[in-house]
Amino acid sequence: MLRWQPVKFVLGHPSRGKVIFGHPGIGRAMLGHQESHIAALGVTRGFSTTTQDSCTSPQVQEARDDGPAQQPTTLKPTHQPFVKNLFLGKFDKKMLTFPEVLDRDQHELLHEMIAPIERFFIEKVDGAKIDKEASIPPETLQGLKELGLYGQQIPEEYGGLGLGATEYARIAEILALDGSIAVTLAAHQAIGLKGILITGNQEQKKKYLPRLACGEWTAAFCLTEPSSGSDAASIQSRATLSKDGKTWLLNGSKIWISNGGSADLLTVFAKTPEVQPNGEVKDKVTAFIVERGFGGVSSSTPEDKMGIRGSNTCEIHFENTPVPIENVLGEIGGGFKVAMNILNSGRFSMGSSGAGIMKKMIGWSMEHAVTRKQFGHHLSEFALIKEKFARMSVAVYAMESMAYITAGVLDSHKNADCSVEAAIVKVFSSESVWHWGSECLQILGGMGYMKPYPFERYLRDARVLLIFEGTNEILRLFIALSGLQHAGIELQSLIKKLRNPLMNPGFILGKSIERLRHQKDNPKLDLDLAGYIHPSLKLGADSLEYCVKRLQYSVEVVLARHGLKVAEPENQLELARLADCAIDIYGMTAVLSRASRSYCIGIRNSAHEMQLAMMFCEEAAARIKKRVKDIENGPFINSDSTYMKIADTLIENKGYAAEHPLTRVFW
Amino acid sequence: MMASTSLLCGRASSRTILTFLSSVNRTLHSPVSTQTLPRHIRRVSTSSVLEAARKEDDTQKTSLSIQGYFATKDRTKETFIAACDVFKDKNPHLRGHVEFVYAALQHMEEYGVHKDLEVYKKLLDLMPKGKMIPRNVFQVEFMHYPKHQQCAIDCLDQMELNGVMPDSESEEILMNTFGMYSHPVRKHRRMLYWMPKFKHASPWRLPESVPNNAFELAKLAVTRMCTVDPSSVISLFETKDVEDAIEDTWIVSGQSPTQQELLQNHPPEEPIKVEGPFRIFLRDQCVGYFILRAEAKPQPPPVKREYIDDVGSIKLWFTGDLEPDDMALIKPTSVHEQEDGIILAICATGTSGRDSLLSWIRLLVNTNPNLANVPVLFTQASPVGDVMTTGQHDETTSVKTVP
Amino acid sequence: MFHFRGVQLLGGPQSGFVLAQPFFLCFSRTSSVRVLQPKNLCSTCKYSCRYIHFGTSQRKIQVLDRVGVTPYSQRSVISYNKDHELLPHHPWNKAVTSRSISVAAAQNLFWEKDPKGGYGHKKKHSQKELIRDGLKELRTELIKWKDEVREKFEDDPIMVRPGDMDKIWILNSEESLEQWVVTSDKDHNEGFSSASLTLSPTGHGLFSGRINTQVPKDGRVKRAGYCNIRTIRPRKSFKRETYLDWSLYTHLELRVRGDGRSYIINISTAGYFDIMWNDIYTYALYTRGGPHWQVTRIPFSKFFLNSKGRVQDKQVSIPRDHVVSVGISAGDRINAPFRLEVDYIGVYWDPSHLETFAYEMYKVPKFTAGH
Repeated sequence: MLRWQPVKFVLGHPSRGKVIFGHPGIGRAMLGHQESHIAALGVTRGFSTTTQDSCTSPQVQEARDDGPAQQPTTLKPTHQPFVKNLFLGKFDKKMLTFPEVLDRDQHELLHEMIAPIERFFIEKVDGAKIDKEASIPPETLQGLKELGLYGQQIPEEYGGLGLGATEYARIAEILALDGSIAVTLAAHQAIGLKGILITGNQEQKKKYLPRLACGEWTAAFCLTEPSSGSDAASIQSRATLSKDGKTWLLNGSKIWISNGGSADLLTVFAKTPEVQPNGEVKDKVTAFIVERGFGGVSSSTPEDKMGIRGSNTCEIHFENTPVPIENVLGEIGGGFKVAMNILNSGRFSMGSSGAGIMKKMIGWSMEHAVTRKQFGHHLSEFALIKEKFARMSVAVYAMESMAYITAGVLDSHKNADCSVEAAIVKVFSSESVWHWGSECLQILGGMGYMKPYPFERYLRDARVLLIFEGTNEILRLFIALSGLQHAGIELQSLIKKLRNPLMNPGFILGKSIERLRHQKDNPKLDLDLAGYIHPSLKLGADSLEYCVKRLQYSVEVVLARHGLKVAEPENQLELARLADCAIDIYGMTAVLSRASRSYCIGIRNSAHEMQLAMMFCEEAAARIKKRVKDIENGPFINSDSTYMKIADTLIENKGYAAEHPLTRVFW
Repeated sequence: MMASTSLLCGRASSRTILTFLSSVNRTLHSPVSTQTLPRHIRRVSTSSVLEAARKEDDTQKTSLSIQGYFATKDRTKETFIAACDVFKDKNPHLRGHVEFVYAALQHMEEYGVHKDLEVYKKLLDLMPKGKMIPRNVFQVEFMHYPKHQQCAIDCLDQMELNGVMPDSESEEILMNTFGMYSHPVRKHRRMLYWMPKFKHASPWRLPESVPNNAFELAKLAVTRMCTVDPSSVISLFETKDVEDAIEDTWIVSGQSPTQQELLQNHPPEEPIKVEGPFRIFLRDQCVGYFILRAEAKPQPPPVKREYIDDVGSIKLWFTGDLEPDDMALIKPTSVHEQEDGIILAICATGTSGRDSLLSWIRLLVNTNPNLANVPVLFTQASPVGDVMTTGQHDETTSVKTVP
Repeated sequence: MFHFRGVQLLGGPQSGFVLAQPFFLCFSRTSSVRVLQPKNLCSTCKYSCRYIHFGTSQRKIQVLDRVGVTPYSQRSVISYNKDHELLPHHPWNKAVTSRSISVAAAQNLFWEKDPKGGYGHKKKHSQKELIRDGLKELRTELIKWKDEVREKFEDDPIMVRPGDMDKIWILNSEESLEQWVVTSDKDHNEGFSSASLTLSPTGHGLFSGRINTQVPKDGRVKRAGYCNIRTIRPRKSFKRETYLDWSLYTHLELRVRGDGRSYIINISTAGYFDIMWNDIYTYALYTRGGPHWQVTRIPFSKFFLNSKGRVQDKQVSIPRDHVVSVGISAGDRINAPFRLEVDYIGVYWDPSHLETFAYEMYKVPKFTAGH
């Protein structure tokens, strides 16, 4: 009798499933078509009204396909790798909608969790003492265990907190208040036990995760060796199968293992012989779960470090350590992939922890600047100081936005490939924290340099961010090469023709006509990104489009110039430029989407956020413009070849090659 | 039957029904004339009236209960929600829900739930789902079920006036009740567009619900007033700490290092005044505050144009060329030096009485030693604002806002 | 956070006030006051008015009438007895104008008859009086006209440089206060608030009074409590109406000292066409309170469009070359005295402010937004 449509299904979408659309402000903005100019009927939780109407945007199509709300909340859409597609000039406009992952209950729960953790850090953690004595007192560790921080990402069924990426990133912000504690916990859960979480089978999870979650056992990640730091595939530890085929015997030594001295569970990577189909025996990396109790595991004294002194870093030696075959993580010979997956999954939280440190330091510096008077003015009145604060603020905003947009994407999609995005977050955050932390110290003046104050300790702790979890240089190459690899698949035929111009004259002619606009630095902007965010950010959106087009152009240029040799050591400068462009573009996307959302939903100081976003976009666009010009110009005009020659002379001279200024030739 | 007439009578209260019923009783023996009864009940037949009269007792209970639902002595959120639940139980077909919602909206403030979104959602949820969704364009255009839509709109109205922001759940409720194209849903969407934009628009932060406690309010007020100078320090004192203090109360005082400097350099002959209490409103609560004010100094004459135009004589401070006197010309006046006086400190006390202010001055001397040498006057009239008279002061501190 | 407790719309823009809260929405069914007079009822279709919502509802009422369902109208006609209790309302005893559901501001049909929306008093003057008064002013008007002609030919156009702030209204003397009109709901018998604009002890304009949220018992008004001040319209010689041209500026700047309450700033851009007579652009003025003055700069891009107190669905940014008057209203529904000292109101140019309009617009299903 009552034929009413079951409207519930359109509205009652699962919180995690339609996150990217389901936002009061931005979900609507997805339609963004300003030509209609009909205001003010906000659609909550997206697009429910508009799905039934005239919209043709793909996002909305997807929403319709997702069906009734009775579907389980674990159903998540898939995600195309965003940055990899940027190298092809494909921009996923869904990223301009800042994800809102947490529903009301999760949000409340998270904030309830945060308060005691913050209190713990303020009251019970004595950072100066930890730094001086180079160890974390056991009571502090016990406190962390009680707060459940040892099992943040472990599912609840194994005794952990079962937090998603966003919540993990939020808590990382607070943990960053003490670098040693942050690194200890990260080494334990972000890399130490991540292997079991990602690749472990049920028995391994059941056996080990409960003890790791409550902190009874600490985990560590053992990959680095004296001869292989960044080059993980060249490790020399070996594991040989015993005669009865039931245990592996592990031999080798690992250095610089965080938590090495106190860890009970180690994820060890060693080479195992593998018989190839053609009969050859090759050594492949395999991952093992090794308990200290297996025997033969010895760790040396902790290393004395510049920063994160409280974190235990030591060498670990394995002497015929028996590892049962059940403890092989993943497949035999598939250890390299496991290692890469583990490392890729933990990186994004560095953005939020970096933001946490920086916000703290900005607070201290600002307090100092506002109270200290010199020459009759407060420091905060001087333009040089103000500029530092402003730029710092822009960088922190970008860091936060990138970290949380990555976390949001990870949380709301199934098996999202965010390896490049996480690398970008890590590179940007580590460098920003180091640079702007140093500037904070500058503002604080002499006080910043003194040991009794905490400021210098934060800077020292922050230096390691550029080194561990993949050095920034390696990550830049990773970003660039992943992008090029992805782009290369599609551009294969195009590049072949570009590299053989004389054989394809017609094509080259057509291509150069197409490229005329690019050569005048005026690409055609046809993505209409401005339609997806608040109109006041139009200039930023146009800059973003320009940068995306220029990146696409520079990818073609680089591939055409080098072909397969693009991965050779001598071509790294161009790759670094491409990577920097990708970093800036991702940053621009993140800040624009976040600022647009804030402005639309009326968050406090959203006008300030808009300014931060626009500044970041302006500067990033200027940097990208220069870099693409450098790529276009080639190594002779952009001074790359000169630098290489200088470096070669230095290498020959085994050091600085210019003679001392006081040298005389004749009297 | 009777219940349906109560529905049709719109917001007629139960007393109307009662009078109607009694009049029906009286006219039972005479045929119901179509002239005396309103149009919409014209077609009531005698027999059905008789029948209804026989059933009078039962229907009386249900129709009286709209007033009765909100007649409890204990007026809390729980009892309000209980009233809604009772209504739902008693009327599985939700008869008279419009009247109930109106009565509930009226009584909300007494129960103290007028700012509670959950309660509004509960009320909106009382509407039957699905029945009122239009099924064709004509129904959409001509406001299908106008009374019910108006009722929902009035409910949203009250939410808006009380500053309660709706959420996606209430939209869902309205959508399921009235359909996508209805006016309540459209109003709801407008609310969700405009309300968030202004919720945090004020540059000065106030908590969601301003505390009722005078001490907390005073802290908020003084902090807010001292945001003018970011280096201000808010201090909390007790008059107990001052010897010979008659009143025992708290004092919230705000002063910045700049003001301390100004007070330090104040010539001891000139008196400074404690003025107040002035009113400051924190949302709907009012706080009385006092200020310590010195007479305004004349502004230094503006630097001459010729002096600035002459670039041959740039003086630098790091070479010692610039004397402290010269710097006075370029030294900026602080924000506290206004044309109607120099504000030296702000405070709010528990009693706002003369003695508490005396204690305040004595406590300020700890951080401003020069204050001990300066005569302090307590004045009534002030150029800075309207001084609240005692009567006014009490009245405004106990102001009840109409939501 | 700061919620406006503005009074619901109470009729036309007579004093330039926006009585509704900024987020009080434009749907006409949500009004509080029955301003509808019997003569405004019309049985013909009132569909064509630009900001009409009432029109469509009126039509709907007609249809409903025919169908035989009693239109709901209780809210608008509420009678009170002495003890503020609601009397039972007898539907069949309704006043003449009882049929409508929507009770908006007097929304007119094909045209706006009155620039003051029914709130003004038309004084009747005889022709003789008009001519006599006119001749008295002839001399001053001629002098004004001569100045204008001279200015046109001799003076250079105004050059505005970045960071320039030009004060338009400085309230520092009785003369300057004469440029302002003070009104409150008491003037229209719609409430009991009082307001005045005087010179404060420090020599600045002082807008003070008391907001009284008590509702008068006349059966029409549902909510009350507003006071406003508004500038008089700029005029050239011979009383010719003109506009203020602020197209070279980006912000409105006010130096005020308030009492912590929020006020509403209304900029009227009434022009030649009657549907735009009630266009007011609004934003909030938040005051810190305390003894310190505050300088508030509000970008013009933040002002949103209202008409007769209803926030419009189709928003546009303020036409800065077409400004008629600026008004400040107090109407945050807090039953207490208010005090706002105004030093000056000026306009400011910030070249780095590139925003044209702060309110984004969405594509919505047809016929759902105001039309």
